[in-house]
Amino acid sequence: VLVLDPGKSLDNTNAHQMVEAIASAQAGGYRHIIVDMTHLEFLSSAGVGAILGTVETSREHGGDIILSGASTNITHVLKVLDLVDYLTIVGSETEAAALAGL
Amino acid sequence: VSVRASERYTIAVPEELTPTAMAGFEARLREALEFAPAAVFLDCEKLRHITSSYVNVFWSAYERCASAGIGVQLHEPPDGLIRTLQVMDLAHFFNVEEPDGGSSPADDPARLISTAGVYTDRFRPDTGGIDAAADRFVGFLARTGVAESTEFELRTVFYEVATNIRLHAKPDPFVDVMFTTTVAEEMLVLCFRYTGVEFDPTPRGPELDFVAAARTGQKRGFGLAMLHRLTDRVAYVRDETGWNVLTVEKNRSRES
Repeated sequence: VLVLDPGKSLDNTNAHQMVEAIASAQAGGYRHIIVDMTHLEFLSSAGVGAILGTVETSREHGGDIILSGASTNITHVLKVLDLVDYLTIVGSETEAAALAGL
Repeated sequence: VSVRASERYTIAVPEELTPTAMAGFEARLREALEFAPAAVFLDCEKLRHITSSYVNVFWSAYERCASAGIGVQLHEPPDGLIRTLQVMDLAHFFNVEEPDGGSSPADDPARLISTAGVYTDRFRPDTGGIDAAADRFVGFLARTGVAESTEFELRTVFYEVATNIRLHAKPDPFVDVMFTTTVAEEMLVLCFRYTGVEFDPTPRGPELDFVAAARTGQKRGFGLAMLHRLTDRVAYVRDETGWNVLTVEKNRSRES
């Protein structure tokens, strides 16, 4: 399991770094990747794309991208985009770790 | 809050936009801003031929009044002016006075109060300019009493539009994007005016299935679909002067 923290914002300025980090982790054999959103205050479409574009690859290899600690506002946006049932969203990193089998 | 007829301030819009006539108009407008009435009436009775220059005059007057919390209403606007403002999606910023016998919006305090809830800003179309303007915009929204979820959605909308302008319209980097938000009880209207190439974001509606896109591994191209999902109407027009005008409306009826 690898934990990635995008910081306060996941947008055009760092979305490509998130994609690269996830791809690199997947290539390195990490099946479950936790995106720690505890500090995340803003999620743009580029940030949404960085997550969506990597979920299927993880699931194809028996893993997942697990979003943990997202604020009510971030979750609200994901809900508007009809993504809450598709994405794996949990309240805390502990829950995420449990889901990942740790 | 009540609005009395005596709080009106009427300015005649000149028949021709000569330097002398515009100087007179400008002097009256400055006087009105100092007088700070509830509403300024722009008397359009003399207008005959509507050109883009007139639109600039009206918009400039509107922005200056709005930033001072003063409503703007057009008196006897010719059909050509109304149509021009409608095409540019600017008509809703101006209360058009009804003909004799009709109920004037000026007699409806709510309408004037609504037009007073206006925020104007300008920013450079680069990453730093967009981020700083977004912060200022959120600061404004926080003072208006909109729901926190709406505030968050509109910050996202602002960022997506501004980023699209930067990346796709490729505006003149030395010319600011003009940004106006009107807050009414029932609706929020965000308006962006900017230079650059014609780029109409309206055809791509809310039909994108984000889950289906995720299943194909799509990583980019979600911005416009997100914009449409988070708002109720997106309109675009390129005006006669070569500026692009993008207007976004957000209905407040579903605010939680």
